[in-house]
Amino acid sequence: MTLEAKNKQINKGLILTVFICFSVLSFLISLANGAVKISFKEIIDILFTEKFNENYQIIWNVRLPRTIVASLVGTCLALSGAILQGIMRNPLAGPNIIGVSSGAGLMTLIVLILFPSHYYLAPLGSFAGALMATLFIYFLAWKEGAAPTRLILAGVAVSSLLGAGNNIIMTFYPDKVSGVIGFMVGGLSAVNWKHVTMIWPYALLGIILVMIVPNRLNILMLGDEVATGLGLNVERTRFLFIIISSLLAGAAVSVAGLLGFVGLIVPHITRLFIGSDYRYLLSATIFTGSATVLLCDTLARVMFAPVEIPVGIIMAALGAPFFLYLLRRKGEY
Amino acid sequence: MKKIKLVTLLCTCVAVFLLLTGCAGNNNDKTAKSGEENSEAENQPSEYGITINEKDVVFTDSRGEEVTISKNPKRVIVLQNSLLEIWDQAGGTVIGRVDESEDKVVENAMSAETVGKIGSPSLEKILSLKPDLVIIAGSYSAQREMIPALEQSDIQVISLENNLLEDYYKTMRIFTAITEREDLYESHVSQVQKKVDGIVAKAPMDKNYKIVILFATAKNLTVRNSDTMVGEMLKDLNTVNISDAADSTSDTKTFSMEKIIQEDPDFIFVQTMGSDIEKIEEQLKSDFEDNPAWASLTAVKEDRYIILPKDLYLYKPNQRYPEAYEGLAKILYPEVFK
Repeated sequence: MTLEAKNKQINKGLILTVFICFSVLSFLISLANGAVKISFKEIIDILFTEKFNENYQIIWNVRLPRTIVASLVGTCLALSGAILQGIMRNPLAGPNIIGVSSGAGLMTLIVLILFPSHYYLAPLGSFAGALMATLFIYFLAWKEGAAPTRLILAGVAVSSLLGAGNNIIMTFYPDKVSGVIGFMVGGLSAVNWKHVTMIWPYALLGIILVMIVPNRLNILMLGDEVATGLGLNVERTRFLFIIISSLLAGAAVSVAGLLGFVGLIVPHITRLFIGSDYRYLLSATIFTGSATVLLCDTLARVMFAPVEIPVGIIMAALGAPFFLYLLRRKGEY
Repeated sequence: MKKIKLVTLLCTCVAVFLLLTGCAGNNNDKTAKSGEENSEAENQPSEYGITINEKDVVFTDSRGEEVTISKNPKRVIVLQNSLLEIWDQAGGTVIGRVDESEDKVVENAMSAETVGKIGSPSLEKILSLKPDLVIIAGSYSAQREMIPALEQSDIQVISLENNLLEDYYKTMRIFTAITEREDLYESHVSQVQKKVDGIVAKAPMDKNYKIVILFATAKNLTVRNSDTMVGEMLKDLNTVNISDAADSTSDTKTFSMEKIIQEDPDFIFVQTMGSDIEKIEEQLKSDFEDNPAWASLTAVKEDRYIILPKDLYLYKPNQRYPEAYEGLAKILYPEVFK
């Protein structure tokens, strides 16, 4: 290894460390702020000694699970986006493109509006919807292999088809839509420990994946022919990654609603800092993703407390300009 | 140069944000309605700013425009079931209506033609029935958008919003004036008013129970404040809505769970879109008990969370307002209302 390459590696390690610190800091900020003001000292007390007062309930059963879920949701969505951008070799790929948002959205609408008595099935429905939409798109795009362009086009077509389904339901039941808007813009207001158990296995899956497969993504980035030449089973690898991305994003969406933005923008922001080498990019995305959702959710809770704004709105309103700023400054694309 | 760009971007993001939060607050001009604007009319004394002339009725509808409607229209279409119910009680008949909902069936209107669903009525169908008067629900944009086309065809339009008790009184006043059924106004509104006032007067002043109204969906913790129908009833019954303190104009909003724990309400009322109350109750019970944050609340521990039936508390109760008030009063003050 040349000296230059070694320096680069150290450099990237440094950036990664900064991201980790940033993410830990965001976690603490999220835990320390909320509609009810609780001093930092008391929070420490509550976390390490059990006393069953009202602030204990607030920290332990509301803020902590919400903070954990926000961080895991960010991780899952950002990883899903980063993986998809890699295997599709397309910077515009994101969980939306494999139908996660439209599939989950339609199923949730169906459950909440057509079968409101079974509202508790909505998370399950959105998860199933996300997976089914992905499989459907993959199936449609298959023609002696699923080429990225065909996958993306099939994704766009299926998404607009499902989007039409959404609109039909919204047109026919406008009086019932108000209860569903929260899902459409994405939010974490009703999160509790149950949601933590719903999402952590997928986040863990994502993190394990990051440890074992980044090289394959790097190879896929070289193009199908080169990758095949290097002995990679391109189709099988791609299918596997698509399913994993769908699982990651589906889990996040079923807990937090449609936060499509994270999956698209966060990997790009991360890439602008650390480059496109998947060995670093994927692990960095874990931390930038979680920090983004944590900070935006904290803002969503505190800004107009005790009224909350959906975190999706904050994310789009702050994240998009920030991303544009980075884009202009670095000029890499 | 870089700084300018940064500043521009920041400004854009702030602007977008303000725009978005601004939108959220826009749907609440309902509170500043009617009531106060009592003016002495030329021909007959009137309430709610309604002037009843010999051949027509003049009032301001939910568009904020003064409309003049001829009395005794022959061919009427009503595009909301709750308004249809009031029109029916005011002695009106219809030739057209929207699809009925299971919880609001107006028997007398069942033989009328349907012109589509409430959110998407068919303009062609409406025009083909050649109505003299179309009564629309002003809160539906698809219905508002039809107004110019209807007026171009010389069809009179009334746009109304039926949200609060006061709206029911006003609507009943307008409709009975148009149908010239003063007797029905007296018998319905006076009755309702007397009963409701009686219940409110009996509600103890010293309890000041803290309440919260939840709108049950799996995803969000949405609450409703005193500007909403049920919120207003509960306020009339001398309770304190913990979400009122929040400085927001929106009548349905996402609320902080932390704040609910801090306030620890005495009663939790749950509004739902579902029909199967028992099933929802079961689900809600397990949701509350499985979630330690909810389980810590006094209202949950003492079993004081109530799922409100749709017919009285989601759809407008109209002539059943006294029943709706009494139902809530019995839950809040069982010692007074038996």
